Amino acid sequence: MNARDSELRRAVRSFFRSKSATIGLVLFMCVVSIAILARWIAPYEPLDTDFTSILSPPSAVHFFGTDQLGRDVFSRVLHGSAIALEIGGLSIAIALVFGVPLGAIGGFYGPFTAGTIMRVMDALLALPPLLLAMTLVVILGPNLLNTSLALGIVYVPRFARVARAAVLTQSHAQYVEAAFAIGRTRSAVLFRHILPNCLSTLIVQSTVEFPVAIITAASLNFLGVGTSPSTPSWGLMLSRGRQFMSDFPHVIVFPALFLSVTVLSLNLLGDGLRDALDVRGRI
Amino acid sequence: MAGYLVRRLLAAIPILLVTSILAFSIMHLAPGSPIDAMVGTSGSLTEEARAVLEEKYQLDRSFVEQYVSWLGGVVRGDFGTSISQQESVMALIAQRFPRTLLLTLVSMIASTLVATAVGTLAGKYSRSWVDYLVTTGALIGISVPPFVAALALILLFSVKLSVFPSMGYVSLAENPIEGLRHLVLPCLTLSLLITGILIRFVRAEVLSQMQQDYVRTARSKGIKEPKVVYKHVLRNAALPAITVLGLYFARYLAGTIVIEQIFTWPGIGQLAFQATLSRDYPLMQGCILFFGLIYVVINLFVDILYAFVDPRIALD
Repeated sequence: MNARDSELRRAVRSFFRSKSATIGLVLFMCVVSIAILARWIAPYEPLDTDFTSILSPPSAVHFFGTDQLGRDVFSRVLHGSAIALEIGGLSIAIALVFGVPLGAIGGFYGPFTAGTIMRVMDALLALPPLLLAMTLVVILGPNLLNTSLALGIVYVPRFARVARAAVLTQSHAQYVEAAFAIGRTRSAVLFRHILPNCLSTLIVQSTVEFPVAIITAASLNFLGVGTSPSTPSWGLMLSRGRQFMSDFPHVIVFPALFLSVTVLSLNLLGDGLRDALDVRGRI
Repeated sequence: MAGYLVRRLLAAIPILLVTSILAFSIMHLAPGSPIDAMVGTSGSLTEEARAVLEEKYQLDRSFVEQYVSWLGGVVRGDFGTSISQQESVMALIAQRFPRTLLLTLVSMIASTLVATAVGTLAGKYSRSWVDYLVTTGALIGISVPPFVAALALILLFSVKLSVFPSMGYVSLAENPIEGLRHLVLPCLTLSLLITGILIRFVRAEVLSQMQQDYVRTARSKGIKEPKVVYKHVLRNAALPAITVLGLYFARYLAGTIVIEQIFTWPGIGQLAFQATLSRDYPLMQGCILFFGLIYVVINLFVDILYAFVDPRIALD
């Protein structure tokens, strides 16, 4: 336990030494706070229309102005953050839960099991992610849960691949040999000993895929096949607001800004984590 | 070498098979009969009409029979007939694919040139203001979602400045100038993302290569610095870059759905999207399989290319 503690402390210190990584973390924490507190700090309900003040520019009453149905853009943007983070987080969680065990098995068990699993993973990887997710959502029905599920399924092979590589690397270590020597079963060695040592790789992979998931989810919502039309997602705000953007840019500027900053903060965070944990991850 | 090629080819076959199974299964994932999905709620079907439709689309046979029959057609180049457009799926794909290919190819070439030049600079002058500028630019490039960048570019160049059109496609063969004008904004959007990714990659590779012993050797031999960088470092950095390029090329041939939708670019991405919206299952299956095919073929090609460039790979 001692060695792991100081390793953690070293990683943390290394992380905060990087200015950009710290900025990323702070920004991300801001977005998370906004998402959690949206319900309370939003001055208006995101779905409340007000046809007397359509497309009004930012003012003291409506900080970010109103959209084409008179809805307060500020409140909608705030709620949008919750939606983006929920879909992103849930999809990555699903991909982790299913992808990591599959990949781990694929890296540790016999050639037939591993071969079959990884062939299926490779085939899934060959299919374009956006199209695949879109197809699944269209089949399952457009709501937040299904969108997260669809994205999760799409990202399973990515995590499986990374988990397999990590497990393969670890499988040559001495402690594995030792564990077998004292009589541990194959699955116990895999899940109790090897996987915990792959944690840093998996964390880094998650922070790499999280912003990608958010962008893909936003793209789905932009195309109109993500969540239902009444959900105040950023992607939907952008697609609906497009026709007004030349004269009323505020309708798309603010969701665009928030979306970009959220992804940016996650990318900074991911870069910082990768450097701090000293993992040679994929780009 | 020949053994490696054969092995890679053989390995690709099971993947293609599984891909085809996945592509085909989509139609049968939907709850209820695909007929219901195709017909929708616009009026109900009589028993006879339903039977006719079921026989036409072979839905009265078992899943395996249907799959085998479909696969047999695919191997012969017949991907079935599109329901929404009443044309051969293959014909539709063949018509649309070159446009997506044009878009992707131009974007990739432009991105590679820019990213190599800029990324090498950033890697060489690491931690300087050049490096920070480039890194920040690349970070913004990958953080701004493609459709956001597209809208921003449209707002700037199309609406405010009226320089480039924001919609549609003109064939280069018919009208080169107009064709190019319509190509600019979509390519720029796609390039922003790819360039961002590539810059980070090139920079990391160049950085790690600059620390290698052979660089020190080359310098001590008196070789001028530019030659050290461009002849030696870049050549070694190029090898993994080929893999990354190939991967993203394959990815973006299918990933242009959003960009094609925004710019009304009639490519294969838009075709697939419309097929999904209209539940045109034969077309959907065909598109998905086609994308999978491209991906596997390009990866195969990249692996083989890599083996020629670095023969050690073939000894694997």
